[in-house]
Amino acid sequence: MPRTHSISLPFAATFAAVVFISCAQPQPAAPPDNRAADAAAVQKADADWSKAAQTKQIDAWMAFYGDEAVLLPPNDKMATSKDAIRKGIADVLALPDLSISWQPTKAEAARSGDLAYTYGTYQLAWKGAKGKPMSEQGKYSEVWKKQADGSWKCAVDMYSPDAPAK
Amino acid sequence: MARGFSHSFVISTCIAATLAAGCSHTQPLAPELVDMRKAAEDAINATSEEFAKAVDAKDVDKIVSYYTDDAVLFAPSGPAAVGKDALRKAWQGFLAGPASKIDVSGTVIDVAASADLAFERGSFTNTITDAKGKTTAVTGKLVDIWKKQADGSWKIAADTNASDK
Repeated sequence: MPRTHSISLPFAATFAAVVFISCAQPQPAAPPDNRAADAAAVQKADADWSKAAQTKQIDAWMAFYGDEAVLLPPNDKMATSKDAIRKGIADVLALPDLSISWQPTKAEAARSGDLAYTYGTYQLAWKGAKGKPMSEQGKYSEVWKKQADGSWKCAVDMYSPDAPAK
Repeated sequence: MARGFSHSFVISTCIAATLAAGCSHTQPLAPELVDMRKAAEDAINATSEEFAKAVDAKDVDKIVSYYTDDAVLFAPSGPAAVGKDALRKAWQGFLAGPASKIDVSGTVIDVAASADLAFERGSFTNTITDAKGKTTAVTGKLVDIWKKQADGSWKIAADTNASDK
């Protein structure tokens, strides 16, 4: 029927336009993808941590751990309290003529910006018994958690030497 | 008049219904964070079990399939293995050694709120049987980084381990 045709076409066009326009209204933006920025921040925190370690100041080292941190060193059991971690770190810092450094080779963050990890390589050198120069190279992995103030702190710290098992 | 009224009524009802149905799906739904994380934890546990079976079966291809392409393996001693080729060699070497059975216990899994990244830490016992049948237990700790893949599966991006002594 000519009448229904003349109604249905403009109706369809208006209908389509209304739906299209309404659904094209600005929606709340999807959360921005901050993963690259978070990964860079964690990598920097890890590099800063290495610099802090080189001062041999235990408080400067401990400051990078979050409250629930665990330390998983080689040749020793896991340290699950700040006190136990502090003892473990104190043992390392007590090595005579110690030089210590590490470099992150990878950093990656979760989309939600609350969790990230780094891994890399470390080097230790110290004077052993009878003044013998000792050295150790190894690999480490760290899990980081973002704090309420936006800073990153280490939640899990593991390392192990490259040397083959004795 | 009745016909004209019913036309515009039908038209406006159609528009309203379409707006309600068509546009509501574009509103971001609040994610069920707790359910997403629990689902991720369950998936990681299930994958870990499959991984353990592959190790018991000495199926290197299957073992390697649980790692991302750029994954790293940090054994308690020895240099890091970086990338799938190095991982394959490391696992082949390990499986060619004395018979060993790895048991993992005390695992804690922590999943990011976006359920795309997680870490697992725990303890392992590697029971090695020598040619004479004598067993030695080597214990250590592990930290694994898990990443969710595009197909929804979870793979290991970093498999890191340290000895207890």
